[in-house]
Amino acid sequence: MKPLIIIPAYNEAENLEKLIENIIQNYPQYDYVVINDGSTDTTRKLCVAKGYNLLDLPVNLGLAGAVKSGMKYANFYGYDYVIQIDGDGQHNPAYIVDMLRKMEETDADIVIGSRFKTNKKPFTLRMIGSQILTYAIKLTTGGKYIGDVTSGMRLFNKRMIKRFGYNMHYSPEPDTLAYLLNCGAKIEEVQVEMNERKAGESYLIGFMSFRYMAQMLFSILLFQWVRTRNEV
Amino acid sequence: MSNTMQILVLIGTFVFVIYVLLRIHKLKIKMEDAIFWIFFTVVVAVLGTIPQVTYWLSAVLGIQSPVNLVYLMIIGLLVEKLFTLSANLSILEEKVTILSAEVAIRGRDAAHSRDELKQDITEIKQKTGIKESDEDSEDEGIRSSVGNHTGI
Repeated sequence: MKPLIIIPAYNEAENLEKLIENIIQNYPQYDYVVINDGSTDTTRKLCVAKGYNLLDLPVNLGLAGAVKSGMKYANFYGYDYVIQIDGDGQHNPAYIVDMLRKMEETDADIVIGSRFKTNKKPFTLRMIGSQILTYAIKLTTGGKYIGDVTSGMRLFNKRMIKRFGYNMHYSPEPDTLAYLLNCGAKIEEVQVEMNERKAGESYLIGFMSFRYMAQMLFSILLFQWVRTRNEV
Repeated sequence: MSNTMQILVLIGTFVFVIYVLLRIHKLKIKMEDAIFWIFFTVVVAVLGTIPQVTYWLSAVLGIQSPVNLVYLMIIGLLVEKLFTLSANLSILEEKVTILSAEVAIRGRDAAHSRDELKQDITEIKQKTGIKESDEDSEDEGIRSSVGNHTGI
């Protein structure tokens, strides 16, 4: 069975077409599904007009809900591997083959397409936040260093498809990575290059980020010790 | 504040924190909500058990009885929670409305395409001269395949 690419898209009509055409023409070895997360722009119309494989959510669920829908889709049709990439075209499908190879070599449950596996993290406010989360994870998981914790490009195996699709607390966020590591899951990183966002708005914007950081730190440092652990 | 009051607040907040943590353990509460309730309990516990803080704050704010400050804080936090709950409820109600409408529209659309397919098949059969008695089994084949694709 082909690996499945899930592409959560919220108001990404401008960027989506180029990405999907690229996948269809250059990467026929992967199946793909666009998850339209209740967009208010022409995302749905574009996908229907072009005949793209579309999972159309009637209301906006947010990234976690969109990914969950994608995982349920993958489980329903019996896929073994799911690659999550963003709809804005910042992730290049060319790296998927590296990620799949890494998963095979290391028998990992999750492979992250990381900007900072071999490259150094730039010194910006955003990256300082990212580094804090990296250290929080390192601290709580017995020294596991994940460079790019917020990367939206991830490869999941079948076990993870079921978990992310059917459990309440599995958001595609750093705290879930920490929790899964402590459950005994194996997480690896592969160096990838990402393009700058072209148009549209990101899921994580400006003033939301303080709240996001507080939530992640609470979750990683405190809550994960209380959660029931389902060993992998 | 009396000693009895302090002890009561301490016991109360302690039991409450255990309850919140238990909910997290059973995965029956969202992290965002849990954070609020932990914060809430910490505030109440600090005000209720460290009188110096309460006395100082009430002096600053010009509140005569320190216990009123504790009540004020609790009411303030609860009002905030009530407001966000009400706001979230509005969003949820709207989402349920949209969902119902969408389910209805998409269900009708699926039924419509099924009927069209059926009609097409009947026409084809009439043209090619296949007997009517075969129709039932063909019909069910289509129905189940349509059902699979739409996830019904």
